[in-house]
Amino acid sequence: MYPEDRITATQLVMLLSTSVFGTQYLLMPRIIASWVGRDGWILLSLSGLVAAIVVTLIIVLNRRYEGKDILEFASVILGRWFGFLFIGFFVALFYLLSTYTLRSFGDVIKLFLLKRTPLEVIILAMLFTVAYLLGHGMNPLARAAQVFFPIIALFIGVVFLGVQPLADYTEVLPVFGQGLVSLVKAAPVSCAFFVGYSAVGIFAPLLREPGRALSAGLAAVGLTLFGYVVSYIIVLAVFGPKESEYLVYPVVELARTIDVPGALAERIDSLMMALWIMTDFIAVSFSYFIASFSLAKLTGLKEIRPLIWVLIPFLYFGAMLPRDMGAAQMLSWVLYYLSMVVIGFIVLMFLISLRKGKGHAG
Amino acid sequence: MPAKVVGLALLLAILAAGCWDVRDIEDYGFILGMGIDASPEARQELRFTFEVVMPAQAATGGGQSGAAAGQQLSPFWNMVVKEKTMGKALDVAASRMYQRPSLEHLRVVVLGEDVGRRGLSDVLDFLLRCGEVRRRVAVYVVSGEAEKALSVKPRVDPVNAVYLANLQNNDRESSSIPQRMDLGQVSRSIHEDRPFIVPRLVPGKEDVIISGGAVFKKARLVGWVTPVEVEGIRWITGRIPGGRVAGEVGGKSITYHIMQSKSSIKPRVQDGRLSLQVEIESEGMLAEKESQASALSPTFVDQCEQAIARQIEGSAAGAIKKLKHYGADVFGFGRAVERNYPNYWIEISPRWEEYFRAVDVNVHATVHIRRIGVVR
Repeated sequence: MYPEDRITATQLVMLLSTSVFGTQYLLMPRIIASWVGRDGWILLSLSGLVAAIVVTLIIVLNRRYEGKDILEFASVILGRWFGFLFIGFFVALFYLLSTYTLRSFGDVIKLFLLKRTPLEVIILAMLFTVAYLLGHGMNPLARAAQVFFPIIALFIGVVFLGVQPLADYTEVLPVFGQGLVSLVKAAPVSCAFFVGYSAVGIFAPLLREPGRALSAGLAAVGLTLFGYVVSYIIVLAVFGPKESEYLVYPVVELARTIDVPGALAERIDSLMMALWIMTDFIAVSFSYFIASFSLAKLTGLKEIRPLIWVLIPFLYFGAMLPRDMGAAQMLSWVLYYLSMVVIGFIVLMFLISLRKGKGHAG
Repeated sequence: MPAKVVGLALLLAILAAGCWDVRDIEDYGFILGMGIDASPEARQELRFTFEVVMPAQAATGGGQSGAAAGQQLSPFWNMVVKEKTMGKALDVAASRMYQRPSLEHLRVVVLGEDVGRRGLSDVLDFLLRCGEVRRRVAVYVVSGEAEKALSVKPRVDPVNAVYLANLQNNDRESSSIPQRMDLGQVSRSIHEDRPFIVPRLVPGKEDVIISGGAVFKKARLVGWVTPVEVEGIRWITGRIPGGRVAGEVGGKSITYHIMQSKSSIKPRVQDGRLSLQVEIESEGMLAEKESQASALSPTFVDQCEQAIARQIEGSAAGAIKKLKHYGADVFGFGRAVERNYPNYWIEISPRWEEYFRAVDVNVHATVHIRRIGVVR
């Protein structure tokens, strides 16, 4: 594709963690709270563990098949047709992930920042900026993530520190109050929050230092998990489980609750919006890139650039299709199931390759 | 090339024109305070008081010092609108002023007693939903009409709503005014179905007094607590960063200045019977004494500590008695049981009110007078 277009392991960590965290963090606490209340952090930690295992499986497969990416070794392991099916699911997952991210970006910006600007304009502006970035390949995307990552970390830190006077950490107790059953029931939803990590299978062969793919993948999972757990616990400590479930965007509400003496910083939520624009820009670019990359594989194209422009109307309509917030949330259900399918396929591929490997040895 | 130039020109034409949402600050009429009263005539209707503030007039200091401005315009204007819903009331407000009524800078919501008794869960939805209003907006209840409190022309600030909103911040300086209550906490307490206390305002001529609080249960006002009871509640919930307690040693008054306090609520279940142990610990200084005894004498300080500790236990016991009467657990006793005995809590939580009314609460206070001031 782009022979020289490679990224470093550090860039991969920043790109992955920003994108995966950035897609969900504004509303994640509400969804988790509605399932398991005070035990959300346990659920998130378990899903992080699952994500770490999936990442490890992908990298192991990637090494076993001599640096082939996830789409290439899928065809080898599963055969042509099932390989095709897998790539199809993969494309669908990341296509939906981009439309979902775009739409939630537009919804939040319209709700809190640009009340009179049409949603179409907000989404198109984002879409064209992203397409422009991706038109220059993967490396500019990685560098954009590298630039934004520290700023995002700083802003989130400011917001989280600002609410500390209101936080009551005993809200986390009692541990396991919801019982194990509800944790298991909620696991698919929560695992879906991490599904972006399956993209590590695409990036691993494109690293400058392919040997560091595993540590980079695990570091990114760790960072995201840390971000999720900290945001969840802080939201819980400030709002309690019931109110976290009542608020549509609990993390935005955190920023809006900060009360700095003197009217100077009364608008700390504008900081939150800046943050949201940055993370979403990276997150949309990321899933958009993966979607067009996999689509190129599926169609046998050598270049992703034409695909990026071809995909714009599809992404636009995909993002505009849900008629309201409820419908946009239905989209996330489709995402959960697709994530399950993709994770299932990855585990299956690992098992098959394990058997095949034994066969060769014997 | 020309295509690029034209494209750039078009792009500039769009972008340089500014933000789609551009609105000048002069176009806004900021509502800083809001009063909600039940309407005496129609049960369906509510009476909203919107305290609109004109920044220019607020800056000149209003009537008293604004003589130079030539006009005697008040820095705030209370617009009373009767409507069924708050959203519709804002609509009506827009027909009475040429600015856009905006809640972005809302600082205080004052509830009338009647509307409190009818229940808050439906009334506040607009404020929580609209996204303009912050969750830190101060909330009060007036025994009587909310409009009265908003009509006070305070001496310390030209704008009534600013005065009211900032008044709550003195919960750090006085132990007998209820803890700061804001819209977010009201909403949370309602959703958690937890009773709560809202500071009660008594409007005067040039000021208001925070005097005790209103007890809300299931989002309805069920009764009042006195300042002494408020103090008891705050000792138990353990959030008193300042304030003073008066006591008596040998027939002479003393005053204790609270520097810090903490409390712990320990539930115990023995043979299926629940009891609660509340430990209160406070550190502070001797603020004043009438007696001639030396404050350097350890025995005298001991006596003072004992006297203040008994005082604290007394006000705590009084508060518990009153709130048991209302069946409103504002102390977080239920939450303490849930934390320590989650399974037992699941069993009793549907009937928690009964349990709360009957539960034995043992309060023990320890006071440390660490400083005596600069004289003996």
